[in-house]
Amino acid sequence: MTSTRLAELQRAIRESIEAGTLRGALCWEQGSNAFRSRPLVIRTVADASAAIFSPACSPSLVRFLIEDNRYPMSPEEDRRPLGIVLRGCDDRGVIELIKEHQKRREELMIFGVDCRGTVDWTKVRKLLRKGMLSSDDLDHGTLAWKEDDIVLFTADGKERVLDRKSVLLDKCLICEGHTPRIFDVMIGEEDKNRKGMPVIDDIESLERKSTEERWEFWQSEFSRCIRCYACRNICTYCSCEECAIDPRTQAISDKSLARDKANRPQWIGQDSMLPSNTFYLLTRAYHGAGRCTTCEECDRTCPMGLSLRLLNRKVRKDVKRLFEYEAGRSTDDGPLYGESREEDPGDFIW
Amino acid sequence: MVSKESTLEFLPQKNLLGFIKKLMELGELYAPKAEGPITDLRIIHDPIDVLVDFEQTRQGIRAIAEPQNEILLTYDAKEGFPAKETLPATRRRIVLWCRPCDARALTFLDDNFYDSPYSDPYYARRRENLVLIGLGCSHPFPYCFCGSVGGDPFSRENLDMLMTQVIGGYLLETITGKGREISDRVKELLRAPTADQVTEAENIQRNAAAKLRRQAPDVSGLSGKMSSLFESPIWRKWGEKCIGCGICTYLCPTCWCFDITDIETKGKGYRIRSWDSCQFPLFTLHTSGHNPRPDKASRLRQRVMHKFCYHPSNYPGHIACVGCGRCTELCPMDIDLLAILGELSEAGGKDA
Repeated sequence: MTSTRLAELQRAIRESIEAGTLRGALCWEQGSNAFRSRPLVIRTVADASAAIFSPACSPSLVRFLIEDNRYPMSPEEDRRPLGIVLRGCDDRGVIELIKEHQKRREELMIFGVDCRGTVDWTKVRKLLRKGMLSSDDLDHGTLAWKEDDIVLFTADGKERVLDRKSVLLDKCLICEGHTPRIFDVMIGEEDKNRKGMPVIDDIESLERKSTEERWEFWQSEFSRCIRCYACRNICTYCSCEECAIDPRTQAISDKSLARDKANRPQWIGQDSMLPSNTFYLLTRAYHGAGRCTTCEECDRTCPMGLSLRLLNRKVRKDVKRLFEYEAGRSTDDGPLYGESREEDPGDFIW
Repeated sequence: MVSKESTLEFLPQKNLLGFIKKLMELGELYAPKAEGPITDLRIIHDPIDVLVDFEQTRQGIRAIAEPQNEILLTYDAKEGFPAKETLPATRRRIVLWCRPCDARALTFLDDNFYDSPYSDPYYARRRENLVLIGLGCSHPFPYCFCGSVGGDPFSRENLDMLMTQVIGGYLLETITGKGREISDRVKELLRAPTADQVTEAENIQRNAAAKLRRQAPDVSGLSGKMSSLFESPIWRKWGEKCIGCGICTYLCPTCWCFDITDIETKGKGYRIRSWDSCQFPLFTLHTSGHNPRPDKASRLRQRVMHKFCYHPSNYPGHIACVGCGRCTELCPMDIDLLAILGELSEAGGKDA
């Protein structure tokens, strides 16, 4: 995003805040180095000047709509809409949340932005290790887009174009469109050439393997899980207040009585041994069928490097094949579990 | 730099594989190993699995000294529930190439599990049988800040041996008796170091701290002021960026909280201790439904306060952070511990 675009975004948010039409707005601020960013809740005109939008803006903000339901960002009597900055890939999550009545469309004011790809920190780490980026770049560099190029403005005032493949999140390399389909204000130009959901074929090699080989692969992945629940807590479909497959938060709500909590069965151990991990990760994947929008935030977030996106892509592929449904495609259909059609396949049930 | 009691030897690169094989004979060996896309300290069954040039291991030594899942006792209902304690085996566990910060972290686990009136027999047995062979950090990682929390990229604290990578191999410094037992058994693989090698290692050690990219503010000055910042708006500001996962606490080498549950299947059961995290709502939920830490801000505050205020007030001088940087680097939302400390420091300074 050019500096004029950023100024435009800041101005749009500032004006809404000033006019009192929003109770707050979700954007990003610069993070712990040039390649990182973190969420920023803008409540005042002054807050807006810290807002950024650049290739460093990797975290999705959509999760914070669920967070707002659980830990309200403003007093409950404040019914004004919440502003949120959305990139092209983020609208899928918001569409599903609207369909599942987690948020109403009118509760949101969406600032659409034109995103040309965001950074994968693990890839940046590799470049640092190889000496292709330096500490100086982290501390004093600035990232920006120039059309589709990722440009690093270095400390000594030079401009360097970074290779997209070696620095961007994999999901950005198969981007379906730069701007969101739902928005109230568009900063810059709307992407009229949205390609539709990206075709993902990297699960085919896994599908070709035998059941035993696949089982072995997943057991090896699942054995690394430390059950930090980052995949669930970052997830845009994990909106349950009490998670049935997590013994640590099943009693999250103060609305449940002590008796309820004591008598609730623990479906799954809180240890991180293989059987519990398998139960946790597979149940979560199935719970996401028709709801997971493959934003791949779980994959970005997992500290143990589990291939969670393969699991989700597989479920997504099967849902599409069986029900011709894709989470986040449109506000006009679904949700998957809320609709039943005569032609729905049923053979796998028996 | 080198203390008088310790001895210096040189391990030539070509003897490294033999050294690792020998360590595997002398005990259960843990070393940096590729685990999918990450690197972690894992049991080594094949010496070629040991990574020679490796990233920061995802977890510290905590996972070895206080495993995430530890079966405390087992029972069989048919036998009338006589519980059998399952203390860990007394075999020697050698950790090769742990980082000095991760070794320092054991000081704070020891505060809680070992050097305390409530010494934990499970931890104690693992701890006493642990031999730590550190690898000093000639090139600290991007988020490291050990130098400003009482550590150093070549800190010897809790290490039995310390290795410094020099041209052609490693300078091996034996620090403790436990370390001596190991170096005596691998003598044939070691050489007397040349004066040049010693000088090279000393230079590397002296220059390492200057390569640390990040610094914490004056933490020992801060810990006394922090209790007055309990109600600071800083907690809310950072808390609302948090998603409440357990990454920061589970990857922290000095965190130790756990929970104990019983699991029974077909009359056979076990009692298991598994890690818990102050970042989870259930951690402090009372039976009544009241939760004294009801939101993310109060839970984030607990994590920071425990490291920098409560622990040093219980164990004077012990700031329970070793500056490994994992909590910040791996935070999905980039919640920056040093930025929080910086803001607290500034706010504390104003009040004073």
